Amino acid sequence: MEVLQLAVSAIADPVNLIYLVIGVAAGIVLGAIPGLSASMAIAMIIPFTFMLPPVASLIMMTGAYKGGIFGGSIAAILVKAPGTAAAVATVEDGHALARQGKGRKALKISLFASAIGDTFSDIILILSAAQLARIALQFGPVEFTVIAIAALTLVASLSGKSLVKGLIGASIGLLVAMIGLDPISGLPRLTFGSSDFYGGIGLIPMLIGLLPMAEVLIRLEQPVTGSKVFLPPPRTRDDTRVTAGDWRRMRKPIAAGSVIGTIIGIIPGMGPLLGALLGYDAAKRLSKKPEEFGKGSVEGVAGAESGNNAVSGANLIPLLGLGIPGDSEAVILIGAFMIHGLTPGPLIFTENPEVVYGLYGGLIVANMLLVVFGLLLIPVFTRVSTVPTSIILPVVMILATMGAYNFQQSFFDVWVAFAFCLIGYTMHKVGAPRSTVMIGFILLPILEDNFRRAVLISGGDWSVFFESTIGNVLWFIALAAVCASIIGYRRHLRSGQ
Amino acid sequence: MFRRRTLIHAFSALAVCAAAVSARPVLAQEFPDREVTLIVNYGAGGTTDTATRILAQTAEDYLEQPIAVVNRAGGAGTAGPSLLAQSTPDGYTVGVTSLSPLTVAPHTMDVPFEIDDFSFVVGYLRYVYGIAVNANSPYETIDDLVAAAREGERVTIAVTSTDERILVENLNSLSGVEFVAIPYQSGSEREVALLGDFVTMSIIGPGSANLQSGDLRLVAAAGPRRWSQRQDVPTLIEQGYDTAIESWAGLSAPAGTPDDVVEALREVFYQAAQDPAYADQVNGLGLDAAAMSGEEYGEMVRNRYASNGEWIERLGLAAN
Amino acid sequence: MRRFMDFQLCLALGLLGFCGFLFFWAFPRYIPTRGGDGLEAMLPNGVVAFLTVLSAVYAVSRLRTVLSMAGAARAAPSDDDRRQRRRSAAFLIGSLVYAGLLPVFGYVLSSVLLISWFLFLMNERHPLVFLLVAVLPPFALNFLLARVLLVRFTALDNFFAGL
Repeated sequence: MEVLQLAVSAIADPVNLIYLVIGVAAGIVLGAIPGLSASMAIAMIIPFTFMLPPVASLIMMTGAYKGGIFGGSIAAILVKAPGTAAAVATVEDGHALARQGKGRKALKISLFASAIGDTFSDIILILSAAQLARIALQFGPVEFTVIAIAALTLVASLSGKSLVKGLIGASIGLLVAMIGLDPISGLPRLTFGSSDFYGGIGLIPMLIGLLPMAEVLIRLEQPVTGSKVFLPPPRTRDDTRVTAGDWRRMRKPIAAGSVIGTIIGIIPGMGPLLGALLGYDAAKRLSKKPEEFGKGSVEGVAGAESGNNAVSGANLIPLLGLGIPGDSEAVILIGAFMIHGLTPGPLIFTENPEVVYGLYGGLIVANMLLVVFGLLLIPVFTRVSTVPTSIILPVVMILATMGAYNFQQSFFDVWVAFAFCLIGYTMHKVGAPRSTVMIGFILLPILEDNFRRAVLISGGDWSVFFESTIGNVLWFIALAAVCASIIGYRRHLRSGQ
Repeated sequence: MFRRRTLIHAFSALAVCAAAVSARPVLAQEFPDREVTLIVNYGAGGTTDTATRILAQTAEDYLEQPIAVVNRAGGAGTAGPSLLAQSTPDGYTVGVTSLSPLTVAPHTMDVPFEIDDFSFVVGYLRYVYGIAVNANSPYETIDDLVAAAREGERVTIAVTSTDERILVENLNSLSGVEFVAIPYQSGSEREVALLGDFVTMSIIGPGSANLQSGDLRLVAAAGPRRWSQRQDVPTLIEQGYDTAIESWAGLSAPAGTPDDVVEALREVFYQAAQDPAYADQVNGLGLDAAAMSGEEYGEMVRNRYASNGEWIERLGLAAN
Repeated sequence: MRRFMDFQLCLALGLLGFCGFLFFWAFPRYIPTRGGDGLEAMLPNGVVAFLTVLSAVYAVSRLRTVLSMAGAARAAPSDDDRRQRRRSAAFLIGSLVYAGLLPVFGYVLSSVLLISWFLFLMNERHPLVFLLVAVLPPFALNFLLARVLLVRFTALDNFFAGL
């Protein structure tokens, strides 16, 4: 229980608390602006944190990160413009709920699911960081390849009615991810001779083009009928609250999302978007009303949100346990550790326990602050829905463009965003789901890098893909997922369109 | 209603005029009279980025102006120098021109810059490399590994950059066996692979927490001299293999920057690189803070470019 | 025949053509095979092959739908016909240009201007100029665009509804 004491004393320090509060609040606000993301929020905060003592700066950044992930969901739900990549899974259902006048409800669901998922993974982190990090080490090239293949089955659940269109989307995503340098030889491919493409296509500019910008075009086409406001007002009191019925339906998705998100977070290299998508998928499979998914399902939002926030807490497990960053935000955190002369990794528990436990305390309190700030800010953000469409659309478009530019201070990314804006608009016209493009895009690096490495290490021996226990378990899961999807699809066809 | 509309339109016209009028060129004054931008060619939080930020912090005192650090990662470190080469040569933009993107990348791909596009300002960081194995591995020295390979075992080594691959090829030709190089995207991925026992050995840097904790064991220093914190581990050269990696990070301004401005920058950054505040912090991270003058750095870049060219031809990676 | 100007069919065929292009022109030139293990081309070619098959499947299904709609339209009159016309490429291009691209162009222009404004601000030191340039243009441009351009839509929709 010395752990608790250290954690509490670190948090009781008013200096730390103040920075935590600022961090969380800043994160929520910055994340909510379409075009800025959680990592940009952290990047903006970094220079300020140099002056601060280590615990304060670390919890400020992790607070900003958590706030940012939730903030991204706010934009996703209200304006259909995910503020962060992680909110992509929430966009469809969240915004659909908002269009039914249930925006506040969706926001609160997102808030509670996020906080619960995050707290769950933080507790797991606190109880067993070092040991779990070791387990993550068992995942090598073979295991990652199989995970990627298994994750591709997500395409099925996100494809809605047309599997062919969903697969086309995923293939486009895979193809776009191949632009850049070959991972093994480092030579450029699909760059068509232009060095602008050497860095590959950025996730954020592509996301910005595909979702918010395309959405602006789509909205532009719709007739201006009657009310000019962006979202309809709530019809009943229940539309603004999370009712007991909602809570009952949210139980399973939140549990599933939290567990899945935590597992994904422990394995370095997966990312919160994958956690969100898997959480959403799990919620759909567990739901008694899967046809609601995509049209405004409370369970979908709950699953996606608990999934993506659980990853953020669990990402610290490889960071603290092994000194290995789980994703790009964690890389920034490592930099922060190093600037203060600390080395995250197995030794930090013995050399600087006060920093670690201070961080733990900060994480838990950050979640509480998230709920508080969330509940306070939700009414503020919901006012957005009363603003006329003719103001919101230009603002979103301009913020999105600036966000694409801001990613790397490069105009090239702006053109990428515009290109994907047109692609996204076309996909919508055709009825193809845009989220499958994202799945293909984020899974390709995991799939290709690890597949080629596995073959390289084994010296061309392909049986190596079936020789690992974890790998075989994952193969089985992938197969089961595919079968379940096929059965579900058949049933859906048979029960009438 | 009418009034509001006119007001808005009036404001708009005024604003657009204001914007147009104020877009005038900045008059040249005493250098530096405003902040300088520094482009780092790798991602935030990484080794180069952290060390460069520390340098920038130290240099701000000498420059007497703020230095804004901007990241431009991508293309294996070439995106930053590409941007730098196209920037205005007025001294307000500098960037990291580390050896790898300047001396390796141009041979393997079409980069939009040449060595002559840069005025070299200073060399400030020597990357430190070593070779490590998992703590429960039976191998203690490079000779052990060579012996294992000779007996027919498939010995793999995790690498991340072409520099490292050239080292492995050198080792292979010196020892007569084949260590298979397995490329990874980042230092962390390399380490994870080694910790999980998926590769036999890996190139490693001094910042590795797992090396310090003993989960990984250093078997050789891969640079020209032993690691400052690990004097007990011999270099490859000492173990009988006459090869080493020497990689540096340096700063440059775009070519065409006025000579007096370049001199000013050189003075500022050379002083910063020698400043104990900089050196202590960077050495504390396990890296090698060093200071090399701009001219020397430029010379090193040109020599390396030539020698790397031959190696890359041999490896078969040259661009068409 | 206007019937075959089905947008989705055109798109599917376009996708097929794009895959062909990738296969025969882009890939041999841009997949590195020097010093490699021969696997570099496997995944990219595999994805392109997969995409080709999918596009073909999509095109075939779309063709079937178009043909069946053509058959149905001969049996049942104008309603179906109208719907088809709405889907024809001409309608789409027209609506894109008028409803979509014009304001988008306006937004693009203002966004590019805004970025230049932003960059300029980073270097401006004169406080009064800074204030003027920082506060007024974005809102001004916004309003301008919103009021002037978006108002067009009701007119547009009536135009196409009458078709």
